[in-house]
Amino acid sequence: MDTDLEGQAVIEDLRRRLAEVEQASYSMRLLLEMLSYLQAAEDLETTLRIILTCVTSGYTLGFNRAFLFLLDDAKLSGVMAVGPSDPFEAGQIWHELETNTRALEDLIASCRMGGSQGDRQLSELVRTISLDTQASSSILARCVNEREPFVIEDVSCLAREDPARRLNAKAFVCVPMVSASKPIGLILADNSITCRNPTPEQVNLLKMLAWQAGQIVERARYEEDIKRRLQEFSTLNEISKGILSTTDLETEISLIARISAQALNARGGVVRLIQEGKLVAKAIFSRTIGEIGIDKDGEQPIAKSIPASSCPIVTGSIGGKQAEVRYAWGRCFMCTPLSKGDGIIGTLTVFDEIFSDSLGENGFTREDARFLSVLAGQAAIAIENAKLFERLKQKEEHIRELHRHLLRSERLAALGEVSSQVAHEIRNPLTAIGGFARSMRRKINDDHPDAKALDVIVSETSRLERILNEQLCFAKLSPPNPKLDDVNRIMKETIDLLSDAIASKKARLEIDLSDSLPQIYVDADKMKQVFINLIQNAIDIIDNEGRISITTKRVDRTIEIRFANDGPPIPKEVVDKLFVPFATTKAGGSGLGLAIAYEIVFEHGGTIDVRSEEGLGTIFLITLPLIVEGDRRRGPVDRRSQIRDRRRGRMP
Amino acid sequence: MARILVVDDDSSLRMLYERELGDEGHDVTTAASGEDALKILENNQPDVVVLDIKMDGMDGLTVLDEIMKRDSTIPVILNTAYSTFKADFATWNADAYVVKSSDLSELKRTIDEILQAQ
Repeated sequence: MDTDLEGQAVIEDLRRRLAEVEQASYSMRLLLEMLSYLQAAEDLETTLRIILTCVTSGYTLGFNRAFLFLLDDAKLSGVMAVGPSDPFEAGQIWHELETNTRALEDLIASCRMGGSQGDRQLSELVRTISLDTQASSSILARCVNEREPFVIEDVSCLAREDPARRLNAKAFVCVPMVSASKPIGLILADNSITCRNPTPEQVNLLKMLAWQAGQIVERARYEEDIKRRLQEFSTLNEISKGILSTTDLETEISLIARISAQALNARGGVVRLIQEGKLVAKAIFSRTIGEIGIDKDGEQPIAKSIPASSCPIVTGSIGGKQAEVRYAWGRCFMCTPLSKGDGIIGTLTVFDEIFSDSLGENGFTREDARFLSVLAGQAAIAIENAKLFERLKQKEEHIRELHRHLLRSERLAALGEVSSQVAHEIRNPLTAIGGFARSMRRKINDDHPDAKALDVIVSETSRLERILNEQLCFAKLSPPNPKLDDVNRIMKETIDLLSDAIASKKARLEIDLSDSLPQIYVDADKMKQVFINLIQNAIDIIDNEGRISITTKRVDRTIEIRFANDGPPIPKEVVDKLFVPFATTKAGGSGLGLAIAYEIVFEHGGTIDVRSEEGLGTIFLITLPLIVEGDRRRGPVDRRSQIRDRRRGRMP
Repeated sequence: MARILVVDDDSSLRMLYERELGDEGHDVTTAASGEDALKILENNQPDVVVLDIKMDGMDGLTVLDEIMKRDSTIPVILNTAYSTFKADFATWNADAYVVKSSDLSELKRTIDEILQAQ
């Protein structure tokens, strides 16, 4: 009997041990199966979801809910959760599970599609928990610090302010995740729906799973880190390429907006630059809309498509050096200043949905913020480079313009040399003609029949001599001699002078000279030459009975003198070279008239432009600066004075 | 009344100067080249020389140097079509510089001034 009893006891003991071994071997098999899925997970998010699914699957550990926390330095943050949000959803899920008898494999396959509605709500809940493990006395901090599992059978024994109580569990178990003997986070699981305490088997298996999962999570985080760094590297590389390829500012800025958004996996990116003390959006990239054009006002289309445009945090964060993560209008923003040296030239912003399923603080992690700051550093350099390049282009254009002018001047200088030769040939006969006419005129009375004719010869040769003087000397030694004078008076005299030529073409002359034209410093003889050349040019261009209109008016700090005619338009290629000496010779022309006009106007510090179009005719517009007494020194350009001074310097 | 030597390779101008300066009461001799002028100067002593600069053969400035070598007291007026040279006048040994013009009053005035100064 005793033996029987003993035998019975032994058998019982063996059975129990056998059951234990079976349980252990079952647990081991289960664990191995779970680990095989975990090993195959492609990223951190899937890894974490598989862990939590294993914890909650009825087939494996069978907890109702599971929460996962990760440790970053000393900061422990809730990251993800799996489970129904309430008993109603629980019933639904479990009914579905029973009818479908889904295996772990199916559940894990569904992990890759993201969690359920309840999962999302629980994840939101767990992400509100974040604590400093060095400072907190929470059960969560202890679990991590002591690397020990804790089974809490009644949460009321925890401190009232313990963050773990926010998860609304009546009883729970939390186990640390450890890798290389260092804690990396914890898993918290409960049965709050079924209101059962965790069984020892559940706790045991959870401990083993957490132990193994620790290493896998750590590895996944490490891989994630490498992946991110690679991504950062290629992004920076792309931006650097942009810096090196001297592209224009606009392209550079939209490139930065696009790359930033793509690199940070955000919904969109915005580059704003400071203009006249205001932040103006310069480029917006949105994944859903693509690149959004910015109109001149800058903010208009942004306001419509992205409410972020006038987001106050953008201006608010400008003082800081680091990227900030903020929330507004249902979106999550990260904004960082673009700084150049000690100044800020603008901001770089990326935005995303708040309710993102990705890891971290509502879409953006602190790592993201750090990377955005790095990105902003590169972007600022790229923008500055592009700005410099634009300025360079403007300078080049300016130099080209100067070069064009120089070319003109050189031609004129050369013209001066040639003209000296011509002068000799012309002046001598002119002197003889005029000289004899004067001589003869002196010997006859005013009432002599030839007196008038001789007067005409005398005055005409005088005029020719004067023009000769001006034209031949002007390239070398004839600086303008500006005196305070009335442009209208000069114009009237010129028109009188040319009245015969105007009459010969039966030209309709329309003259509109402003009454309120102030006097300016002008070399009257030279300016008359300009007017003669331009009116003569118009007379030559127009058809018989054509129209010539001459107007003067004051525009701000300038005087505008406009010569318009309704003749046929001047071909574009001729217009381009109109003011170059000898470059455009109309039949019978010297090819000098307009070149000389240009030079004289230039010497007066003014400009001369021409526009010629079909139906419009041709308009020459002279703009002369209004120079008052105090500005005299900065008045008409006397570029010959230097030559004169040099020559004087040679004198003995 | 003064003896004036006009040196110019342009015959029309020689005619003009002869007539105009003659009308002023001067005794005008003309030379068509620098060489002729120097030949005339060997036997004559004019009160004033009116000298063109740009001439075929010997140019006016060489003639000027020659005259100065022989007798630096003879007054010389440079008379030229080149207004360009006016600025260089101070470096030459001439007494005056007049740009050719159909209006001869400047030349006549200059001659009178030089004669009065003597």
